[in-house]
Amino acid sequence: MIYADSAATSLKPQCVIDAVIDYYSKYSTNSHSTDSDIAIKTNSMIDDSRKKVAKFINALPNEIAFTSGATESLNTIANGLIHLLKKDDEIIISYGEHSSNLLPWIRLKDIIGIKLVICGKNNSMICENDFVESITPKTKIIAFSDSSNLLGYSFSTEKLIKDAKKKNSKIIFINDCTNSIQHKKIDVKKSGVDFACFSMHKIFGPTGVGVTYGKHNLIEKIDPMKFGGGMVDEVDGNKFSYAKIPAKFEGGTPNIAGIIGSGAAIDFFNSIGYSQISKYEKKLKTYLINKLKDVKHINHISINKNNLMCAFNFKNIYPQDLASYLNKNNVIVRSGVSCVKLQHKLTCIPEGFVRASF
Amino acid sequence: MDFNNTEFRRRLLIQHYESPENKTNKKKIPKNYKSGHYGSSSCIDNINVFTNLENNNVTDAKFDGIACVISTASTDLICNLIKGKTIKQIEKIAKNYINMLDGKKYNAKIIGDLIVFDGVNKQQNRINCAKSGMIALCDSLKININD
Repeated sequence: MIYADSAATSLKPQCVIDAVIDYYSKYSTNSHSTDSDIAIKTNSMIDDSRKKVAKFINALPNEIAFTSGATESLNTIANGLIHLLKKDDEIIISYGEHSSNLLPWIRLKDIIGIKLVICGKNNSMICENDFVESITPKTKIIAFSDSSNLLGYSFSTEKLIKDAKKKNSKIIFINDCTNSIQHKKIDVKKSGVDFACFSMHKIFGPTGVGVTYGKHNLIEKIDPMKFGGGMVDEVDGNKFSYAKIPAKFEGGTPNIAGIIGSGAAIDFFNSIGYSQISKYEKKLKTYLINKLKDVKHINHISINKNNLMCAFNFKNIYPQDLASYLNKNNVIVRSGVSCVKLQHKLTCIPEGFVRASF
Repeated sequence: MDFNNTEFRRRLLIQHYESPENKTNKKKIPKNYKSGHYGSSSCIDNINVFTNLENNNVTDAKFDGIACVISTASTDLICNLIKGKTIKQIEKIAKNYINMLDGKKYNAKIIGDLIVFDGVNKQQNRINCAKSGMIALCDSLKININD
């Protein structure tokens, strides 16, 4: 089998599977318990994973909250910022965003009347300047994916923030790096981003674990989305106070096995390193492009070798039919628009593509 | 109509995919037509079916949208099949067709050319494609197919 759907989810290395099994078979306890040695081990393993994830993106452990995935992270951030926003405040996103970085903002538009500004041009990939051009004095937030999960483009978060701040220094920057974290180094301190998030299952980790990064002074200001056990400090019948960050955002028993597996995934990733991964990805993409060039009627959307994806269509064949045909030949790809529901504004191809991703 | 002939089946599907008889632009649909929708959360299939109901009879059925071969062809064949039929007859067709796709017992005699999809249940990833038009149709006629 050829697995070319890593942008949907990466395959899992044995060390990650072993870490999950180890927890379930040897010390399966609730992280909200602290009365046994094995429960203390559980908490210690979660702390270790948090430290590993924090170091991985150059953040502090108390700036990292675990969620169920990037979708929950983005919803937490968007909802958490509601009290800092008012009618007619402008939020900029792009036509290249995944639904998880589109729908929470449309909802805010409906609830408080913010103005959603969606940037991007026909027949063009998204770049830093698309956002910068859209900035006005009313811009409060720029929420962006720095790498497309469908079209493969990638731009510099650092450059975007630097250029944007020249026009408006008060903007809050939210980076959905779900599709970049596995391809390029994310350094939240260097880029200066205020919030960032990703899903661990795209980077060799288990499903059901997301990471939310929030710059300490900002994450303190946002409200949680989940209320319950573990996220509260003091409570009486009428009021309560929040537990310290990150517990404030982690109400309820978390996905403990997934979080522990995430620590193992970071170890695995570091044992290979971005440089090797990048070399191998380019080799695969070059191979694929060279092979596709020999097939008549193939229309490449992202032929640029530096793009992270390979999106293509076969003349007069609906992408799902082509993906289904490839599946029968043991080649796993994804068809359609991969949840980038507004991509047709960029490509003018509403039915989407077959996407091969590494 | 030789449904034992693979080539015949293939041609029937391609014909109704490339030149569907009932595909239209939803802007051309008269206001009195009832509409139903199917949208896939995992792929781009997006089908709207429009029906005209007179005295409990469906006198016309059209569709609009973008979808794969199986989704487009099945929706087109469904539209052909149900014209002139009552809600009760369509309900029977829908239930038998869905049963066929789910690998359950069904009556082949009442589903017409839709028998061409009798092998779809062997391909898990295409079952929803074949159901899409029927779901949209039943949505337009308020037929419950979940029983």
